[in-house]
Amino acid sequence: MRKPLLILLPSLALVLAALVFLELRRREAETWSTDSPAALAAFERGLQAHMRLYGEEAKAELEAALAADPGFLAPRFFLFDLSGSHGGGEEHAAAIRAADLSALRPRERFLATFFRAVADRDDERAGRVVEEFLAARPRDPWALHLAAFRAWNRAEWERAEELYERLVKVDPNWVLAHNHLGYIAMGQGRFADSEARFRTYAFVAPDQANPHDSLGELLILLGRYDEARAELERAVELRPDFCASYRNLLRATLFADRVDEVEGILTRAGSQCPGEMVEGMACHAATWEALRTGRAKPFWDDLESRCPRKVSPLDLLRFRLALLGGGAEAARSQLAQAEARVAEMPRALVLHMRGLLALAAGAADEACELLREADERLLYFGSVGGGTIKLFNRAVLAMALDRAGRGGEAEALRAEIAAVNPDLARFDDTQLVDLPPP
Amino acid sequence: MVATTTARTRLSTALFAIGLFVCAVAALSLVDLFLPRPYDGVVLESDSPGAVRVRGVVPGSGAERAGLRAGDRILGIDRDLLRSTAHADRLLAARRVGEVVPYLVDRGGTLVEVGVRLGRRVFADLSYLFACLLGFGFFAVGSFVLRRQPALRPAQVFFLLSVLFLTFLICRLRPASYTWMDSFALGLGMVALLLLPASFLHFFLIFPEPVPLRPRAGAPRYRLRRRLWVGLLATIYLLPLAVLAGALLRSRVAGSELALLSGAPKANWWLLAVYLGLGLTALALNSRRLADPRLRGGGFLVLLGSIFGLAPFLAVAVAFPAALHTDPHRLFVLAALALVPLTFAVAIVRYQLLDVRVILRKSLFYTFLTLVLSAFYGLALAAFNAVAQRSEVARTAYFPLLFALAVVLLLEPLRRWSLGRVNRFVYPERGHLEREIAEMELALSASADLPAVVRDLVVRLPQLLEIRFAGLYLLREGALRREAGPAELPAELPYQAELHRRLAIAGRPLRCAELEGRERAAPAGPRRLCRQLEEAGVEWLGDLTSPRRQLGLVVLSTSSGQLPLEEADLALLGRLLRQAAVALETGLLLDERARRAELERELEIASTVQAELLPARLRLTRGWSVAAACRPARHVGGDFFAELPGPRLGGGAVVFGDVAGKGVPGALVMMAAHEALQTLALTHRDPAALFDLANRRLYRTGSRRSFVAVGYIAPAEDGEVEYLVAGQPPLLLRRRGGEVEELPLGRHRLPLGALLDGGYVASRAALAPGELLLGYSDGAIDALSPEGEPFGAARLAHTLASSPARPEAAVDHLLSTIAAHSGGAEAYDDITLVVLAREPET
Repeated sequence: MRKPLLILLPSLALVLAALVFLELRRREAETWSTDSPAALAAFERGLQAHMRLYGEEAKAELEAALAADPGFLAPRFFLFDLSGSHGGGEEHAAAIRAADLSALRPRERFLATFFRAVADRDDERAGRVVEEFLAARPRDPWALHLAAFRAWNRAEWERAEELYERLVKVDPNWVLAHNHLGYIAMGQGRFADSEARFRTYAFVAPDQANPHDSLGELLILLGRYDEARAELERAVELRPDFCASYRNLLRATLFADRVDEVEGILTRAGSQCPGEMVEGMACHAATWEALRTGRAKPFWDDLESRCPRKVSPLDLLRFRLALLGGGAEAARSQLAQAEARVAEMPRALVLHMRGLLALAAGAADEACELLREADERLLYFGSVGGGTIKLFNRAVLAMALDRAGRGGEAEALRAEIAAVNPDLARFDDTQLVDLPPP
Repeated sequence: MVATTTARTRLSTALFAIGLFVCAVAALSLVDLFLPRPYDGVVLESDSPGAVRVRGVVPGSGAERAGLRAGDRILGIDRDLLRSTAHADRLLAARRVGEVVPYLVDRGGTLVEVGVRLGRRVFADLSYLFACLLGFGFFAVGSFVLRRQPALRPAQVFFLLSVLFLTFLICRLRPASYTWMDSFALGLGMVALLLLPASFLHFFLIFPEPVPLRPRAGAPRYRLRRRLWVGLLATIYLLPLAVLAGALLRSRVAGSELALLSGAPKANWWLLAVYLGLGLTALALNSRRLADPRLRGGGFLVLLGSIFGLAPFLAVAVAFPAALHTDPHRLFVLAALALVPLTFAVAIVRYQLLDVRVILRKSLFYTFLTLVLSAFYGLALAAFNAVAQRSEVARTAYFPLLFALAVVLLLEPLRRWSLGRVNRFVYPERGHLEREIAEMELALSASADLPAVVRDLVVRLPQLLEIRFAGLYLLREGALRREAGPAELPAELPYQAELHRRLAIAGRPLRCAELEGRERAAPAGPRRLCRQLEEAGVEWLGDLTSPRRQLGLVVLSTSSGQLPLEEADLALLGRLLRQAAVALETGLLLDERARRAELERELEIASTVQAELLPARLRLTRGWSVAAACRPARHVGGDFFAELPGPRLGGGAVVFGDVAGKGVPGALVMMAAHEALQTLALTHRDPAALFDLANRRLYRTGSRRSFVAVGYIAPAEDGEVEYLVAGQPPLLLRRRGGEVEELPLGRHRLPLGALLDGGYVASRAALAPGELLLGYSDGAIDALSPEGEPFGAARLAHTLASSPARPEAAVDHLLSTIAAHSGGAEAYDDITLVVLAREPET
């Protein structure tokens, strides 16, 4: 009886000691190298704000931390990170470059190395630094965040999603992760998941406009315009200068056919947002109305006075206007400009434009091919026009399929559209198919 | 066997301690429900480990008002996303009662945010209350059975079963919230649920009798079978845990949540069903093969209890797991479960021939008493509230607890005071006991009949007290010897003065535990004695001491009934034992006197027999006259004389002997020596050869200390005397002129039987006519005067010198002189005298 105890007890003690040692090491790695409690407290508040995307507040707290302990390097990482939108990053970059890495804790050393690479604009080195640290500490939230954010920027959605999932398991309150997970889910058509992510984001950061804006964007895509408008109103209520929300609010209002409310939105946006943006919004609303009411031609003819501001050649609403109001030549002209600026993602937009042109020219089969290819490239979340572009492309594809005599496929496709947004499933632009051949 | 019993009793003590600890944890978890802390009114789903899922909401709580409902999953509280229930507990603890806290709730895939106003925790779940009562009921019944039969294996397993049920019912069915205690209690309840089937199967395998798989000590290949049995039990207990570990691993590998059914994975429920099926089959088969109808009945009762008590619970728990979580339904699910402890306990208790009626009556009585006390408590609480409605004391959340404590403290003396009276009221047997003991006391005071007293103590008293047996030990020759009582009691116990002192101080019977408990450092002797008696089933020890002396000990077994002996009963019993001691002493004295009279009668007879062994007249050889006398110191003596055939044809010889030892033992050795000399002399007439052979025979007979001093005198017609003295004083020769001289002794003169080797040589002496030769035992010279002065060889020689010439007269003279020296006192040693006189020539 005693012999097994003599073996068992030291073994247990050994295991316990090893666990304690590992835990102490983990805690030590997660601490920050400052002796000033005031600096540490301000820094942690700054980090919280940074994590919740409260840029100004984060900047103020991080600077307070730096003021309390000028030798404290960690605030400089995030001040440098914030400098993209607030400026003044060079000073911090220099300090990071000059820092003695051996005096830093493991996580600080990682961040310093990473931000040095960022400051040097050496993206490959930055990526390597992140991956190496992540391999060594797979549960470190900062490593996960930076790796996920890099994947997000590169449109590596699966990788980004996997990393963000890991991140929210480590730190459920990392709001940016919820936001990006929401968009990734939205892009892949997992709308319930996306909505849950945005609502979670809104719950954790109730004073932020961004989650409501994201939610509004999703709800527009889903055709729940009134809910979308409520969320977007909430966003601009929280942050009256959150201009993206005015733009989305305008879209939601137009989709909801509440034209009478457009003026009010433009007025409110006008008091908070840059003039050219508001002009663009006004032009967008007017174009929408012209297309909706079938008065594309007179609007196109008087375009200079009605929409003096130059719009992006990738603007699909303008392209439709050009096609319907200016004819095929005008549309081809915009297409040529778009092709000159095309990149991977907007390539789908060019395909869509070509498809529209083909359809207008009566080449239904060709239109089907082009629109199908565009559909394959488009996500429900995109940098231009949001997920509604994909739905709109599909609606046009359904029309093309009809014209090509493939009614069954068209109906199936409309059912798919209706599952997302019943409103857009009903889209059928008769003006478009009545156009004379180009 | 005793060692096994001790080990089992120790195991029972350890089990009871563990059970008590678990019971305390369960009670604490109940108390925790009443502790004041901000509470949202959410009852969490206990089958979703890791998820904060709503099982229900307390009516009227903030959660109910906020619209939370069963099935909702709480994702976040107070702008923090939850990692665990403990996290939720920390978040809520940071808030105050009355505050509105935002909750993020997942309702069927849709996330909603609601504001929940925090309140105080309330206990509104009556079905859980029933589960708690059932749990504590299980524990109480299990404890009762274990205390009654601590050495009985089925009682131990049943107690384990009861503790597991207590844990499951109180901890697993707890309306769980977020606190660590909730998580701890749920975890404990889950472990209990996993182990329950194993303990059931274990119980079925050993009740009412162990299945033939179980080894019996002494059976062939016992060790191997025992190892197999222990392995089987270990497997039975470890398998549910292994299945759980497997389910956990599987869910981890599959990346899914561990699905629980009423607190256990589905695989464990299957295992439970298999265990129960196996167990019930074993029980049915095992019971059938038993010859004793009582045991068969016990097995059948357990079978019924299991089927009717467990089957509904199992069926509902597996088929409709939600029913265990739905408060109104749970009551019906658990109701039948109460059959299990009742039937099991009745079976075990009946199996041990205890009085089931008393158990039931007592249960009913305590139920009634609980109702009365609850009513009293409620009324007192209401009265207090009415009086001190506005005071701060009444407003604190601790008030009900404190008030309950105060009521308990106030009622405790009342309970103690009333217990005896209530028992007498509820159990009429109690009144009879008092009367019967009084009658017995009266009978004892008038009795001097020892068997009657013993019968009263050992037969009648156990019947009155409802104990299994009583035993009586009497103090004899420094040890307590069992006078009456069952054979399991030790036949002899060492006398422990300290034990008697303590019992005498108490004035009533004491338990061994009480004897030890009064002083922590109880002496080892009484403690060992107590242990010895406890192992034989003794619970109480009573002293038997009369005003004059200590007589012994009365031991009383554990009770076979339900009524414990109370202080008043013990006082009665103490008085009865004192009375019994007096009666016992009187009886013993009378008995002793009667025995002594009997002994004296027997000694008279023995003395007569011995006297008859001695020849009335000695006729040895022509020309010689002989006289001899033997005066034993007691009724029977160790001295003798006898006539033997002499060495010469036609001649005779006289031997006289003195056995070491007196009284009956001496007489018996004397008989043996007498017989040996008589028979050997028939074939061996030479004294030396005779002595050698007799020496060898006596050496090999009896104890080494039983040797015999013998003198031999064989006169011849020519006046020559052949003599041999072995251990006796030298012969005295009185010459014709009156001078007395000692005849020389041979070289080897040790008594017969002292050493194996002989080597005796006879001597010769010549006597002239008219001369006397005296042979005597040392009793003659050792006879003491009243002053303590021995008679002595010189005085003997002097007396011989003045003795008459005739041998008979000489013997009488010598004896009367010795008697005169002794002053009439009882002789110190046997005295034998042999006088030979050569007759004058005619």
